[in-house]
Amino acid sequence: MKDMIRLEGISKKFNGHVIIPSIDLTIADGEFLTLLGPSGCGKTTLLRMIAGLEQPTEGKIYLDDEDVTKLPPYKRNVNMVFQHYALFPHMTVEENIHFGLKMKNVPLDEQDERVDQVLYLTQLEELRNRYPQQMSGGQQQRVAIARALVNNPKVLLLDEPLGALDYQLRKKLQIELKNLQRGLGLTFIYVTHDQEEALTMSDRIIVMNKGVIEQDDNANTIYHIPKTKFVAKFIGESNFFDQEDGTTLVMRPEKILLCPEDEENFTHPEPLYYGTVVDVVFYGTIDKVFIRLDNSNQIVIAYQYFDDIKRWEPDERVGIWWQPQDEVRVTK
Amino acid sequence: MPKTWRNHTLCAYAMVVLAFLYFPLLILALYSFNESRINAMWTGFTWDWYLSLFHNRRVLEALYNSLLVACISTVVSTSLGTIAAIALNKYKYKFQNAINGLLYLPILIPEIVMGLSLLVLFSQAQIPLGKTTLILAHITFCVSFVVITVSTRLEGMRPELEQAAMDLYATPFQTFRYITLPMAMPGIVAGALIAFTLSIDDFIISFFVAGPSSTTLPLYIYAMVKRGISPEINALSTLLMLSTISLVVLAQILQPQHTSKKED
Repeated sequence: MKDMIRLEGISKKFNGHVIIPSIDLTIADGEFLTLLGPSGCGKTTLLRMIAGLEQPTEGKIYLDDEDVTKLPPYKRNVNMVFQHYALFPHMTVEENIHFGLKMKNVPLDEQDERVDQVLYLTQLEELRNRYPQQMSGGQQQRVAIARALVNNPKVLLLDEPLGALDYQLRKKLQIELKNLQRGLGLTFIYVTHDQEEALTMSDRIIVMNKGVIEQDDNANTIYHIPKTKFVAKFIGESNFFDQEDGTTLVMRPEKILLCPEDEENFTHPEPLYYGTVVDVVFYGTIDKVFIRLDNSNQIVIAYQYFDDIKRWEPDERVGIWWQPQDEVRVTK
Repeated sequence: MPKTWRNHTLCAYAMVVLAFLYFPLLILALYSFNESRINAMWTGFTWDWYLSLFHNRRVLEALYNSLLVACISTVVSTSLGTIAAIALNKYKYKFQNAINGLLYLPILIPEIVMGLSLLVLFSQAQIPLGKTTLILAHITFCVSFVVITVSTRLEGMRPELEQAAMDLYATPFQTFRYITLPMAMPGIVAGALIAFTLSIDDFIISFFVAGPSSTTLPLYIYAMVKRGISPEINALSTLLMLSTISLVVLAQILQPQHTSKKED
């Protein structure tokens, strides 16, 4: 597949502060790529550099094989959905959506046609004459997406577009957005700090920390085979077992298997650790079992499904083991 | 019971304060309709004093001067003030607080000091006193007020709005034309109305820098009073007061509400 965006040696310093040391990244046409990381990791800065709202200190940005590094935002064929939508309060929904086409001097009848199309696509036809203040957060969010999409950008940039919405609405819009992206076959670059959002929507996730790419993989690999401790910690829950050779084993709680300490003739590998159950918390589909390891204060978390043979009680002695193929080893 | 008693007292107190503020103005307005030439006694209702005002060539000339000075200084100070406010809002630089403070300071400086300093400046620069000096002086004290009203408006505006416009292919000029300017407009209009009101009303500074051919209404009224108070002055003052009040009310209506930046 064709490359839509190519970043070569992009770095950003701000007041002598290094925000992004150096990043190389290629994004394919039609890909849903998520930049995931904690606040201050440089993900928004990277997005804003692609939009042209910020200049990289060094490096080159290619959009569809054209060098756009020095182009101002209004000359780049990408559009952004801002975190707080940034709708123009003195314009109606329709005028907001018209804005980009008007600036590009698109012929009037074509403007109307495209605005109607995008209003239909985002189900905003009935709200076309409203002002942004008269709408709910979810509706405003749809206007922001419509306003960007109507310009047929090569890439749509989204900066935590669902961040200000409540949980239920966010879930619903995640699916809507993903379907929209698939239907249009458009390249999406999505910035979020919400790991669940990233896992459910993305074709590919870039996990960032302190301006550095920690891992660049699809959702499945990011979750099951994290490359670094940071990734394992940031996404989902993990247990870490430091090894004598300096490496660390990362075990997801659902891969941790428990057996009674005094079990005889076990048919599985011998337990690697022993400990005492300190707490069992009911989570609906699972029990979360918290175990304190002997000879250390480390707490290990294991998920137990109810179809398992046994439900654990606090103060029980347990052996901890796992299937060798589930081991994930990281070095940093 | 004690609570209602307290409420009544507070209400009465508020009425006394209001009466204290507006009673003199009411008396003035009332006597502008008095038939008698003497202010002390009410003899009957008449429009005569208003009519004679409009036949008085010198009053009309003062009115013309006042309006001319107010219009020009409003236009100029609004433009200068708006540009200054936009610049201060957009570019962050060293000593910004100091510069903001310096812009606001003329509001606090006693007018008599302002007037005197302007007079000294004009005579040093050998500019003859007249309409030009009057307009320059009025622009000087109006600019600060415009900067304040426009700045307040701009501070309530998220920077993302301009960024969004740029992202939607608007050049810097188009961004200014379609986003910044319309959003700042209520502040600009309010600033202009305040400037106009201040200019029409100003006496002290005008007294220092006006020349023989540039008597404004307040200066004319002062001169009339020196020859004794006539009902004509009452009528003129009432008109001035009414126009000022309506402008202030208009400015209040247009003044941006202090909505928080994080309105979601």
